[in-house]
Amino acid sequence: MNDHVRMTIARFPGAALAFVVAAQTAPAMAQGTSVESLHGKSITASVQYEVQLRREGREFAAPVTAEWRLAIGADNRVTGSISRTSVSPRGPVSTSRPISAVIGRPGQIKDAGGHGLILLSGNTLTLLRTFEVGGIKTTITLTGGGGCSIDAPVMKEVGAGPTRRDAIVGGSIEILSSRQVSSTCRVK
Amino acid sequence: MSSKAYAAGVALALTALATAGDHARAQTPGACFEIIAARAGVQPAILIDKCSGRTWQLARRSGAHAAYRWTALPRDDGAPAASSAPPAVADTGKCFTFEGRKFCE
Repeated sequence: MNDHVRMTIARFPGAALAFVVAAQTAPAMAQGTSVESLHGKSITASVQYEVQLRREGREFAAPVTAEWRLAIGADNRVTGSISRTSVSPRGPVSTSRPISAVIGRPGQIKDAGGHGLILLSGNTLTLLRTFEVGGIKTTITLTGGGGCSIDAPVMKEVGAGPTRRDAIVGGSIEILSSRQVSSTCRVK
Repeated sequence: MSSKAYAAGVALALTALATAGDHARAQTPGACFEIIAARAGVQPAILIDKCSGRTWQLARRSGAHAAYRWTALPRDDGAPAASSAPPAVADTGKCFTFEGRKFCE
């Protein structure tokens, strides 16, 4: 506490009350849902996108749904899966990949390329994932009472051209634009 | 003490807090650095250099000279956390830097 604050409190005792309130409120606001309380539970979240894609020189629009199923273990390891579903000219297509990562520890995504990292800050789980070009930042905010929200924008890579990632049907695909149109999220 | 004095005190204190916060931010050496707070039993404190992408975690070294030290964040693929290793992550909201690459919405 500096001299200015001391003098303020000495002259105006109400200031002390304000400091106490501020000191007690700030940590409470910073607190989030504890991860320990999620042990044995799962987070299921999905995001629906409208995506403009390019593959083998052809551009087309497609709806894409991504679904995350995550469980947080006592060893800080997050396991689960990420699945993507879309509708191609030949009908619905989908793919699913496992997720296994330790919170705060970057890892290489062996089967699909790129890197991933899961961070926990307050009541927010952040999943960072890089693609061949570009990436995705998934933010899951735990709101308590079994509620949560998810925001997962595709991120452009600065100075690297169009986003390119592994396609649902194999090979790679360019994501020219994407827009999150709806989402669901729950903890159970 | 009148209610006016209390109100004035509260207002002054809040102003002082805001000023102190601004002052602290302005004086923060190297705005590159950000600390993600530790979560007991879940995640150690993580220090991020948003400019270089390097990260460290706060770890307790045991022994005769036990102390908390920032140690370079190891990577999940077993690669050593050498000082020359590729940078890990810096998350700044609309953008993040990961493995030396920058991504923005």
